[in-house]
Amino acid sequence: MRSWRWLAGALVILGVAMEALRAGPPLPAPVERGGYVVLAVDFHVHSFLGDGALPPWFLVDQARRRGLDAIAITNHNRTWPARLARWLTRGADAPIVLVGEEVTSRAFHITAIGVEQPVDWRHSAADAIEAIHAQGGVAIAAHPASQFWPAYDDRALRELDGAERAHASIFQDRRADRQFAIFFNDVRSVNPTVAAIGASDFHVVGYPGICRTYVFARERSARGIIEAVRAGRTVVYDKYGRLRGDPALFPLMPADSRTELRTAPRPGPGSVVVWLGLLGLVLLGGGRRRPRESSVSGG
Amino acid sequence: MFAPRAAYRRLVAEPRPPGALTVVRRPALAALVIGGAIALTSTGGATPQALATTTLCWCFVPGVQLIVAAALLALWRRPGLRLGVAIDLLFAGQGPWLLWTLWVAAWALVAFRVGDHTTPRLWFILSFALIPLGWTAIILVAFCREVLGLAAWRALLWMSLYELAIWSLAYLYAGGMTFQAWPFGQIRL
Repeated sequence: MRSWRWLAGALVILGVAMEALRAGPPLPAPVERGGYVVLAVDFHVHSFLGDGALPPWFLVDQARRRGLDAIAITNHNRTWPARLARWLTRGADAPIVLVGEEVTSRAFHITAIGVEQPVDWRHSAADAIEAIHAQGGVAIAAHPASQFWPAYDDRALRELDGAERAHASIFQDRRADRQFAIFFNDVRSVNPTVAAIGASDFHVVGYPGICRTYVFARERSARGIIEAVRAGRTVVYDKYGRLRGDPALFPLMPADSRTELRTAPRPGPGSVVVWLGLLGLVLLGGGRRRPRESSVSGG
Repeated sequence: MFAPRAAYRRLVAEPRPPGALTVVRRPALAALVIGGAIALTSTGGATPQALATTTLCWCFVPGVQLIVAAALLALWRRPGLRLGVAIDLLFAGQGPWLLWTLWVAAWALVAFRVGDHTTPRLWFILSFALIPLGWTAIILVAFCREVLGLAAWRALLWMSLYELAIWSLAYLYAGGMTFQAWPFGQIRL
């Protein structure tokens, strides 16, 4: 039994070593088109400590592996994980970290990008958007499914800077894609420059950038990205690979630019070996040795 | 795991490593499995950096369990039973939850591998958590009967207190981090 346990432990080490030796996929570099730098951005990612599985510094590493130029860390009603990530990656040749939060109430979820202090989630949607603007940030309607529509009155719809048109849930729920499309078109009818946003809402399962926004920024910086969203210069791919957003920008999209699914993690044999090793450790962890002495006295 | 009372009778009689190693070996294994499962689920791989990061971040889960267990065992255990041994034996009953985390990781690996993002919804996967929930309760009662030497109703009480403490802390963590769950919906921190 002991030797089997050693074997399970060795499998874990072997699998981790195999994973370390695997080369990551080649990542696309930012391109310049029409005087803009086209940046791939995920505007909705959750981090540990809080409602995400991965800590901020490791999320940035994952963003790089997924070919993202920037991520917004948007924990529920918290900005400090994002500020921590920005501090940890300052000066590094890493994807840009946008500080944000997901303003979360029962009536609506709004991602606030470019804010330093949390916005009171007890506001109405319109007041929350106003508070986000007061900090110089942009407000994006997060996964605007039909249950959240009543929270957006005319003022809120007019003041929104963006709405998630592509969100990871479109791959799981047929209704989600349709509802996000309806909401986006409704906002557009009163607010023509609203930005189409693609975001993963990554917590644990999936990966950052499974849905992403192609931002046409004047400069490769957090300020440049926020300015572009405010001006509505974004493009996203919907579930079916069709471009959504500002039609004037569609011709500027580089050929073969849909990197969402191409940069998905592809588990190799090393992952399976690690998994088998961990399974072995759990199943053999109890031990079946013959008793030699008791640790319990008086029993 | 399948015959917990018999397993605990055997484990009680087993020799075990001295001192701190007895206390930390099974919580450390739990931390490694949780970290490994999260690395596989969230990144599709387990590079040294991923495994180290997730294990380090999420080791607070067995850490909290250890603290709660130590508090309850300090109040209520068979005379002569060392605290370290009791903690070690309590963590021997973690198998069902660890298997469940590995099941979620396996599902995520398959979904990544086939590039299929239309796999069953997460709630379907998470609903399988009912199995380790019930299974662990049975193991905990067996632990109380065989290791702590408690009568049936005291064993049930001990198990209920332990589970209540653990799940209350989990609720506070989730609620505190999102402000969505009661009482965080009413109280501003």
